[in-house]
Amino acid sequence: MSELPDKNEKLFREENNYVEKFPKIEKGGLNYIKIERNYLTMSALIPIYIIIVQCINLGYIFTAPPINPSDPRPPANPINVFTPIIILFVISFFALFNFGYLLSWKGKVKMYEGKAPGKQKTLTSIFYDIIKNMKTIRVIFIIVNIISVYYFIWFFLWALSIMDPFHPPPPLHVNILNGLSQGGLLIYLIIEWRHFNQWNRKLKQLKLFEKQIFHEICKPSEN
Amino acid sequence: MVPSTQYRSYNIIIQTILEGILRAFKDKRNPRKGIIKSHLIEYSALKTSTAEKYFKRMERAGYISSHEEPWGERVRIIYEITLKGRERYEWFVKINTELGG
Repeated sequence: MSELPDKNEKLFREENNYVEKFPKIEKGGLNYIKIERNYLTMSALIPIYIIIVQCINLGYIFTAPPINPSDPRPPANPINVFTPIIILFVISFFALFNFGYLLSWKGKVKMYEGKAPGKQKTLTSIFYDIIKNMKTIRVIFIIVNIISVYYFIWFFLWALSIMDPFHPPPPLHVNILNGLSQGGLLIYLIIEWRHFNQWNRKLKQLKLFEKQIFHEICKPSEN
Repeated sequence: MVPSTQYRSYNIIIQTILEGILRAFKDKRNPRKGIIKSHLIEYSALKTSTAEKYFKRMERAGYISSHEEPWGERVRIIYEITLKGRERYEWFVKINTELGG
C-alpha cells in the first residue's frame, strides 16, 4: 500500500477520535470548575463558624464578672476586645470575598453553559478568572495566616487568664468553642497550604506553556 | 526580555480562538468541520484587524488552517483547527484541570 492512504487514514482516525475527545476535555474542565466551587464554599463556610465563636468571645469579654464578686466589674481589657474584633474583621473579609467571587463565578459558568443570559463566556476566560482570583486569595491568605497565629497565642494567654488578671478565665463552653474553632482553623490552614502549593506548581507550568505558545506564534523577529 | 503579562495576554487570545473552532466542531448543527471567520471573530471578542493578525500568525505556526467556501455569489473563509492546535489546547486544559487546585 502507498504511504498516502495510510496517512489519510491516520488523520481520519485522529479527527474522529477528537470529535469524541473534545466533549470529554470540556467535561473535565467543567468538573474541575465544580471542584474549585466546592473549595470556595468550604473557604466561606469555615470562617462563618469562627465568626460566631468570636461574637461569643466578645459577648463574654463584655459581661465577664470580676474575680471577687463583691467588687465592681472592671472594664474589659482593650487587647481582649480588639483581638476578636480584628479576627472577626479579617475572617469576615476573607469569607465575603470568597462568597462574592463564588456568586459571580456561578453566573459565568451558567453563561458558558448557555443557561443564563449575558455575554458569551469561554472556558479559557473562566480558567483565567480562577487564576486571577487565586492570586488575590493568596495575598489575603497570608494575612489570614498571621492573624491566625496571633489568635492561637492570644487565646492561649486569655484561657490562662494571663491577659486579664481582673477577670476569671473564660468558662468551659467558651474554651471548648474556641478549641474547636482553633482545631478547625488549623485543619483549614493545612488544606489551604496544600492547595496553594499545588497552585504554585500549576502557575509555574502555565507560565512555561504560555512562553512556549508565545514563541511558536510570534517569531523572535516579530516581538 | 518579554514580560510574562504579554505571554499571558497572547495566550488568552490564542486559546480562545482554538476553543472557538473546537466548540464549532462539537456543534452537531454545524455541517462543516470548521467555523466561519466572522463567527470566530465574534467568539474571540476581538476587533477584525486584531483577529486577522492572530489568525495569520496561528496559521503560520500550524495551529489552524483556512479555506474558502462558496456562499451564493460570494465566498467566505472557514477556519479549521490542526492536530498541533488541538494538542496545544488540550495541554492548556490539562494544566488547568489535572494539577490539582
